[in-house]
Amino acid sequence: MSSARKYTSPIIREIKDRIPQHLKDLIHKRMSLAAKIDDVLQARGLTNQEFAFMMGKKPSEISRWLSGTHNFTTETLWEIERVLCIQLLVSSPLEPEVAKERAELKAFISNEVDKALEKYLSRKNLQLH
Amino acid sequence: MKFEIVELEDLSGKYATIYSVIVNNDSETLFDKFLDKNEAIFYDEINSIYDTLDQIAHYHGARRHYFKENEGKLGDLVCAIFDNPDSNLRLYCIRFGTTVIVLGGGGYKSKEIRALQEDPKLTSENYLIREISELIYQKMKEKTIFWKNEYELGGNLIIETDE
Repeated sequence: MSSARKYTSPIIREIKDRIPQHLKDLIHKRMSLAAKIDDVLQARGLTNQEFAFMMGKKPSEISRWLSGTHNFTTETLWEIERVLCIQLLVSSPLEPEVAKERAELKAFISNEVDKALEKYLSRKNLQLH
Repeated sequence: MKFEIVELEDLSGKYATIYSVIVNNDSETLFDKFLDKNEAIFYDEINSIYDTLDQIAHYHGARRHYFKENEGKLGDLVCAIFDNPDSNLRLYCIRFGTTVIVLGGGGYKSKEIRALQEDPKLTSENYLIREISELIYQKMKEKTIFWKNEYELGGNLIIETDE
């Protein structure tokens, strides 16, 4: 045998299918954030202990942060940004529905302004004549 | 005893291959048993652990910091994955670099105990994965199990022991 036998089971399929998208997104964001911080520590040659010292925390707290399961407060993220001189908090991209609504609202306002301007100019033209 | 290492095709991804182990021609893997035993009480935690493994396989790789290390003997690569450091539901596994994970069983570690040895269920799950890790290491030394490529184990993935 050269490769492992592929395996699946009803319980694995069931769990795979039931996980809600919002949970997947949340776990993805938490793990990405942990990976981003760890990448910076690796790049700067900092150990968890050194980073803990810089942050004024216990090393076990850093392990918790990097586990990809931690629910950071914004204050902690600001402090990490300050200590490591990096940017962690970025605005989330707009949801497609919100972006669409915004574009429609913008088009509506622009249209109304055009109409008002046209009305104003035609009145002004009448007054001049 | 007989162990077969099988690839969990629903979980494996671009960044890591996820395996589990079938013991003694059983019908399910150690990971299935872990899910079976815990999903009723720890529904949300099981969802989180499953998705964490999925994220590792498809996006991040088995990076060291996602795991609780040193859960086995010194240097045997046995570690644990959990949904939340405070919940104490842990799944034991063997992490081979960032690309291969072999999942074992696990269970709930009560906050009232310090060492896993204080819980017979956790102890048996942990010692089983330690034994599997040792056997895989031995077979790798004998070159009957090897790295097929950067992401996969190859060779004779059915291991029989005298015990």
